[in-house]
Amino acid sequence: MLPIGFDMAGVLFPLFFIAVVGFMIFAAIRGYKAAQRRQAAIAALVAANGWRLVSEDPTRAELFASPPFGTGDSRRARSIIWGTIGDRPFETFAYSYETHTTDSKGHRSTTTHHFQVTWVPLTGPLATMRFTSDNAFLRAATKLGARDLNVESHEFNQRWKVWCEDERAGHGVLTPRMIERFLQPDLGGRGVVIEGPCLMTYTQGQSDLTDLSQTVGLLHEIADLIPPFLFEPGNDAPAGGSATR
Amino acid sequence: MEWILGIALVFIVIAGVWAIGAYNGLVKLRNLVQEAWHQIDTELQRRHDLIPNLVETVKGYAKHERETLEAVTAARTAAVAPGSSPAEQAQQENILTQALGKLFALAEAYPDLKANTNFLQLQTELTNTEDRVAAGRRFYNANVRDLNTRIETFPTSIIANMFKFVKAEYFETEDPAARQAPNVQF
Repeated sequence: MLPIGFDMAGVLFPLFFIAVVGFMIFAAIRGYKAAQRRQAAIAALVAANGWRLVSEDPTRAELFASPPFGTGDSRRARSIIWGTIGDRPFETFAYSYETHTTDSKGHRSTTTHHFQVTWVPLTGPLATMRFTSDNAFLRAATKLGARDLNVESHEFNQRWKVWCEDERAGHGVLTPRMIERFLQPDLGGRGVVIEGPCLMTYTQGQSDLTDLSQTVGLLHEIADLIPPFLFEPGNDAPAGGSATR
Repeated sequence: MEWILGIALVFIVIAGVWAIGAYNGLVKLRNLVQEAWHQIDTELQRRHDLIPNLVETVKGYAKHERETLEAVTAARTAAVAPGSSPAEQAQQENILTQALGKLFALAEAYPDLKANTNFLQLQTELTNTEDRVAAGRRFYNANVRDLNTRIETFPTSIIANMFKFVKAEYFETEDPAARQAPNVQF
């Protein structure tokens, strides 16, 4: 039996407040420790392979024009690593940007979107091409008239939405063997972009880079499947994307 | 009464705007198909132009392989004949591809020919040209698919029938990129 005049809300609210603050502190410490572990793992990986590491480079946050770049604000590129795997060059970095929403009461909330971006150089510049795993939003956009490059494989058309700056060049890139490669399960959940002289892939979230050699390997596999004639001069390929390197 | 006329007028205007859009879309696609076909034609011409040089080079090393050389020349002559439809052209190109395959196979028996710079260069150019033809074919067929789908699907089919748009023919050749490249050491 509670005494008369006992203020239940007056007791519970501070307790709830303390619990929330405590949870936030716990989450922050946990996140900090996870980030430290990730940094240590990356540093060890870089040292073991003789690669180079830069903690942050603002120019890398504007390296490409294709999504996930060029959207949101507070764009950052961190843990930039470059080197070679099997004598073939690559670069990878953690990319993030922020988006903001305001609810009906005027409260502004910020979401940070994290990606792991990896790219390899191509023999020369090509027309920009973006391969995005099919999802409900893209399907709706296509139905509303958004362009999507369709090929002779129904399975490919179902699984990938392809945007291409130059459709003729796009059909040049999408050889039957390239289509077959894109149907392999290791490309699931990835976005792939050809922009200027770069072939880039990105995945959502922060990575500890345990799958880096696999990622670089698949990028080089794709690069090797691009028919050489597309890199020849006078083949209508633009002089590169808007990325500055 | 006036409002019925008003609704009918709005309906006619909407239908008219849609019909113009559908017609223009079909014309645009038909032109794209024609343009894509011209592009293939240019690449095929490039391919055909390489063959006499190739035959001459091989002849210098393998004179007594007359049958194979003549088959290549005959297939080329048939392929360059003007006025073929895409399906007929594709058939001729497939025969030419087979004849060329035999020519490259016989080169295996002539080490001097395999080491000849001119022969190697022609072989590379031919491979590149075949890749170009294949890319052009995929672009052409994609446009044919779009055009034929528009012609067949309702309600665009009404406009297509009214203005006598006809379905385009696919160009179906063997795609060199579909084949695994043989590992041949020269």
